[in-house]
Amino acid sequence: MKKWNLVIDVAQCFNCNACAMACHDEYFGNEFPGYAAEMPRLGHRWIDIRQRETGRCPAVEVSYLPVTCNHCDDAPCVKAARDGAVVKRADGIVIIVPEKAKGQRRLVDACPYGAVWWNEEKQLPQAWPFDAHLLDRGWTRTRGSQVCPTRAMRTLHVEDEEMQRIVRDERLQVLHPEYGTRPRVYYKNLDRWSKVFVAGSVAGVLGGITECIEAARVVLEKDGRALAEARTDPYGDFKFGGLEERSGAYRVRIADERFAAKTVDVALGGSAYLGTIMLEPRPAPAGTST
Amino acid sequence: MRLGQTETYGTVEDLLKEAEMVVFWSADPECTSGSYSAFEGTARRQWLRDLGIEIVHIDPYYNHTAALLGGKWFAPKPGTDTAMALAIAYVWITEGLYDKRFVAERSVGFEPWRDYVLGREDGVPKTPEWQEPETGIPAKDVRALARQWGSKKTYLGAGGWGNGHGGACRSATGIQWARALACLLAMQGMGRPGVNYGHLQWGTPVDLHFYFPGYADGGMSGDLEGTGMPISLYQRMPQLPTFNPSTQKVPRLRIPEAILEGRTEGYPWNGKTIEGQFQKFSYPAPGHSPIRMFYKYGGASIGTMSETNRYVRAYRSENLEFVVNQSIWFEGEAKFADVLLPACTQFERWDISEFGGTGGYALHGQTQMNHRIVLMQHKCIEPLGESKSDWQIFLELSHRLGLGAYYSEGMTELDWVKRLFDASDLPKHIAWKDFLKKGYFVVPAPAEHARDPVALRWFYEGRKKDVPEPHPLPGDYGRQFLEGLQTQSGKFEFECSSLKRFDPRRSGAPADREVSAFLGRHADQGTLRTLPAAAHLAALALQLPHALRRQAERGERHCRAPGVRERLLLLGRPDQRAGRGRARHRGARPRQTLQRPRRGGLRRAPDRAAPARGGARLRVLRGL
Repeated sequence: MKKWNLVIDVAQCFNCNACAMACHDEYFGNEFPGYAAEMPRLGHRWIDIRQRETGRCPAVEVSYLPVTCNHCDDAPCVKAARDGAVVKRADGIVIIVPEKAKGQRRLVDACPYGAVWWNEEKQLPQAWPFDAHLLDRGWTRTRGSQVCPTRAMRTLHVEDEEMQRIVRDERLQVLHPEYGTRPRVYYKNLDRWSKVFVAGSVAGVLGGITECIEAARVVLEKDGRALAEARTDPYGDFKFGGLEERSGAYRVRIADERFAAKTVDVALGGSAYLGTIMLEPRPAPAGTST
Repeated sequence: MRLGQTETYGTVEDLLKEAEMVVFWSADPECTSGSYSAFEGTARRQWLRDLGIEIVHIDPYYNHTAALLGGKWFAPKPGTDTAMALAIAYVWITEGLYDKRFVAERSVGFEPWRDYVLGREDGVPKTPEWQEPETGIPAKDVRALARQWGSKKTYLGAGGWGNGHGGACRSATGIQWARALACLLAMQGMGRPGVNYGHLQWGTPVDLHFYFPGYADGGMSGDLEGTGMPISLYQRMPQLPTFNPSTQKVPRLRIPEAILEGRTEGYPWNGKTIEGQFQKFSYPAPGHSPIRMFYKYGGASIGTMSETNRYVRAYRSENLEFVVNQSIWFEGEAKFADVLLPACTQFERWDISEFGGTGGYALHGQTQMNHRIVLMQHKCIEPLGESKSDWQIFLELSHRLGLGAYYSEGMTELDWVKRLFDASDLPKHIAWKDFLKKGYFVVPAPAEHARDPVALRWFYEGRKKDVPEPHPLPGDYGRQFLEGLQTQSGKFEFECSSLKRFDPRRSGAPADREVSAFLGRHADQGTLRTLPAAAHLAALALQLPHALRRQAERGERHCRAPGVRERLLLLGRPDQRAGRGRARHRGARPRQTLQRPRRGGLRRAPDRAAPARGGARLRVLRGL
């Protein structure tokens, strides 16, 4: 049967918060018996947009990660719940049943993603119920999906096989697959959130003037092996993305026929901007007197 | 009129089809959303990446647009952008990277501008190296940018609208920045396919021939002077005209000085002619009373103006005897009022409006939208607490002033909404009852062949003006109606003729006059070094400086139109109250000057400005 999935494109999210606002609008001041109790006015972020900045001026990346209930197929909260307080529906949606979950704070602790929120006043664990009350009435998209101005949040109602094909085609990922929870919320371009980059600006003196060096060949090496190659842009800039944080020593080799080759070594913690790399003139050929 | 910004017609299509690069200069449309147009432009800017159009951001901050779209980021120190612009011009001049035909045929004054940039005038060539210590941007990067820009068809998205609105305009040196950028675009041949102002925020191909008035077209105000009403709405919806007989006016930014020092002067915006910006106002106006009462209506000054502790001091001043604040929120500024008039939100009253319709203030703001949408704003609930609609508050005041019937013309709020509906082109497409029921109307898009021409293309090609806007007014053309720009020469002026006439001696006039350089990196010096002695050379391009002056010294007038909140009513009546209130000592309670109405809407608030006045507490009159 068709099941519900959410796909979030990290590269398209710019923190407008329309989805979070729509969620708040849906659940604050409203209750949907069997689906969700009222959300508190303040303090809960059932769709929680997290921010990361990486790099330094002028090579900076800012990325946003909307985190919500993952509606896991192997959900820790289902296991932690007592008295059937958490239901895994046949269509994939996980519901914390408000009428049964009162007092079960363990559900908050059980979620490894921090997506279950504690309602102090109601003594109730709460999470985003995939707008199931709307989907059950014929809606085809969640409210967050509907309002997203960049279409960064897509609601997909497909068979699991079809979903796995989409996952492969679009190279979707889930948060922390190592948890083994099998989320139904997928992320596109997750590298933008989780990976780091090495960038730099190449310059050299031409005709007595310092210029940006365009089209210089830049190779990124690790352990003597070339990982990637790039050409500098008109500003002399290059950038290698998709690298693991704290992944150790890298070497950047820069070659331009007008200048001597240059290597820069970097030990990668977070993203590294190597600054302006000045190329030196080629050494005079051997045997030539100056 | 459009506050001086350039035309924007057809630029979305032209940019996407023709441009190879877009420079976002002090522009963060993903954050500022143009004017009241939500995320309409966001969807369009996604196409920049899809089409591989190069993107450059120039902003001290890595703004939200840069974070979303990516591209090359330059971060000049705040307020130094002009130096960077001059260095770009230097590269173009020395490397021949500009539209020489356009400059020769469509502009005047290029030689003095060129000589200034090259340093022939003051011995300081404005090289990329010259700007480096000022802006913090490496010379090599500016050179690379100038070469890219000079060799690619490039749109300049300046400010939040892309056509010169906001952004770095709103700094102490903003006028110089705007002028310099206008000169840059003129050097690249503005109006050439792929070369224009914009960053896809304005300029969609919507049907602008469908009439629906904008939010400053006067509505039901009858105000033929202070709104856009005379252009179209009055003819379609005749109504009792109103005039403010007082000639004493103070721009919003100067109100604190007027109250605290008793005198101020400046150059308020005047959009009717290019010379209007040189008309000086001074306060007090001859024979008028000083300001003793302040009726604050609409957006908070403390949240939006500059050096806003000035407003705090003005509110607390003994010179100001009485303050009314009419607002939907109990914002900080409301707490300085003697009387609070709680206004309801738009959910608690009837209204009709168009999404992004800024007409009367900025014509054809609907081109920010992907579809024009006219909205019936239903009254969802009765006003909460003691709040009333703005219309109702003014009606009750009018009754007490003996003007109630003149104000309402015997109609209800919903009657006025219907009257505006009838005045628009809506009845040609939808019946009133259907519109009421449906709640909105989407204006059909024009056929492709009926789209408006591209902005400034007519000027680039030396034709008569063919874009659908009524300005400049016929008398403001230097030669023949529809021929040339609004400048005195009709051409683009690198050296501005009206500025020279205004004050040929004064360096920097009028751009850096009275600029209190509280912003920017030369704030400690109180002077501006970015454009030393440049001003008589700095260009006045199109009507850009109008916009800047408008923003710098905004004087806003009272408008009764439903939906128009950002208005301010200043009452400086003839001196019938002279001397009153002088004896009032600190901490005394201001007199109650408004009677409590029978049904209890207008009620005196306790003392204003609590901290300075002995800690008197305020009651929130709005019962939310």
